[in-house]
Amino acid sequence: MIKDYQQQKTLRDGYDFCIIGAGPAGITLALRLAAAGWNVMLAEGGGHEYSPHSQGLYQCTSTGLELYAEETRLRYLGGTSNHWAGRCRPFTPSDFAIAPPGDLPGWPIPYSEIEGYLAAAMEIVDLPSGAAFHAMNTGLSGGEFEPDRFLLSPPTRFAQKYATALNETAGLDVFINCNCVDLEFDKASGQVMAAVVSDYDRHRQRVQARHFILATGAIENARQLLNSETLLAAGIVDKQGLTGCCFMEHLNIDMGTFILKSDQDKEMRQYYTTDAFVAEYQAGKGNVTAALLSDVQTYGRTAEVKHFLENLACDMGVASKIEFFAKFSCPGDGVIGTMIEQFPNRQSRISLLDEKDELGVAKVNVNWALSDTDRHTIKCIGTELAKQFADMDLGYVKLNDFVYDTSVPLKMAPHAHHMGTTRMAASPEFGVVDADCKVFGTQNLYIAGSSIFAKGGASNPTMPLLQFAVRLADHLNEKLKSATGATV
Amino acid sequence: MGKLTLCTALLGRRGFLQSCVLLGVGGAVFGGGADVARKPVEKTGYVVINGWVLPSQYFRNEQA
Repeated sequence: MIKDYQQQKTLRDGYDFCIIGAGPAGITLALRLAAAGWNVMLAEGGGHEYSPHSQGLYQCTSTGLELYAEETRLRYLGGTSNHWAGRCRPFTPSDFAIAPPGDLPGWPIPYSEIEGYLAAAMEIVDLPSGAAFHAMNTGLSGGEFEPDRFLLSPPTRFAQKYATALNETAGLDVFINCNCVDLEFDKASGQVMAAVVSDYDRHRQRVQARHFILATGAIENARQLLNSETLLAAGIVDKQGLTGCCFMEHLNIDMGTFILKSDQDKEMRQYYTTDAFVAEYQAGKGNVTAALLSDVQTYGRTAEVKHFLENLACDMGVASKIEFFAKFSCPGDGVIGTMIEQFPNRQSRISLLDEKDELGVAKVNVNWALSDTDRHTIKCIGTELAKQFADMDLGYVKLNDFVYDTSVPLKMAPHAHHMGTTRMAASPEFGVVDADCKVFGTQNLYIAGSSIFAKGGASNPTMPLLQFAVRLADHLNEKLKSATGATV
Repeated sequence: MGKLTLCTALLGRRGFLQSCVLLGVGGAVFGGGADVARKPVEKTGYVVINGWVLPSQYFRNEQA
């Protein structure tokens, strides 16, 4: 049943699970746990639709790269799935097997831990059962770039698709306009005793449950942990520790332009780095998309481009030829965009300000920062792609200077893929949650969503985070069955 | 753009090398693991001129 917490504030005496955040991860967990027979409360801060009032609570300051942190998230039922583009590409074993450069480890679990949940995640986002992730084009010949393989979800809007289930699943109470403003932790028992929720008039109430799950996105998950005075006092969360650290995005780099040889197919090409590329250059992964400009598609190439190709091959003397290319300036035939992996680094983080929002929750500052290893990844992907583009006689690439010269300030945009702020690790020295997504030092506080990602890879995060959500639902169902001796 | 603008009158072999970024040495600097597929030996080197990544074979001066 979906209830509006502004008007209906009657809670059950105690829930088995209290889930904060009704985006893809929260909705998936709520429906699975309720279907298994447990009493579940799902609290969503926003309403049924977008509202500036709710969305305004996502405002935050930035001391790092421009993230568009307010615009890229959506604070209402269904969460950010309400503007999801639907692209799905699964993680691969190497995402889990290869540690990132630096002093932070990669995933503490092998890929096989989530591989078995791929089919369930595909079903959740309306991908055909058993469908292969297909390629649009062939790879490049050097063995470093294979064709990218992906499927497109319709895309699934979780609030719409699962509206009936959210309303009718027995044991499930969904509250909209119900904002989590605190987590009350008891150090002696190691338990979160209650989540404090509030309507928009600051009427507060304690929600008691046996287990609590944060599923509010990478910025808000860390914000909720850092905002809890009792978690801080108990030493579960440390403002200078890993909670909020390692904020990762996917890097949308304007690599440059390209000229396509006249006998080549004009369709868009999408490539993906191979494991051999990652091993050879000790770099991250990435998707590269080469797309023709619409004018070139419609009207054909310009005379300048023809002149470029003629001059490259002609015998005009080295000096004159270099002078020609040094001064050559034209848009080319197309542009090259990317979705590149960012490695975890401690300087890229969210932290809380002293100032509180209207509900009394500390506001957020985001310091999105890249490291030298990320610039290395960008440079390697750009230069190697350009070389192999020419090697295969497809054409020639003009890289922007910030791609191959790391001393030039980078120009890029985010992809709205927020990850890593409550990273999974084998020990609290390197992360916030354990292999079961449970916050270190607690007995009953779990995290869902891409904030648990120890590495981001270059796969779109929605489908993989659903694999983790289904895995977590299975784990919690088994845990509670064992604890209660229940046969559900 | 200005970084790689060339002056033809002063351009010789030294100027060529200063004005271009030689690519194709990444594999030598960053050795790959022995158990991964290796790419074939490169057929040609590349230079970067004004951002354009071009085969160096087009810029060989037989007299130099």
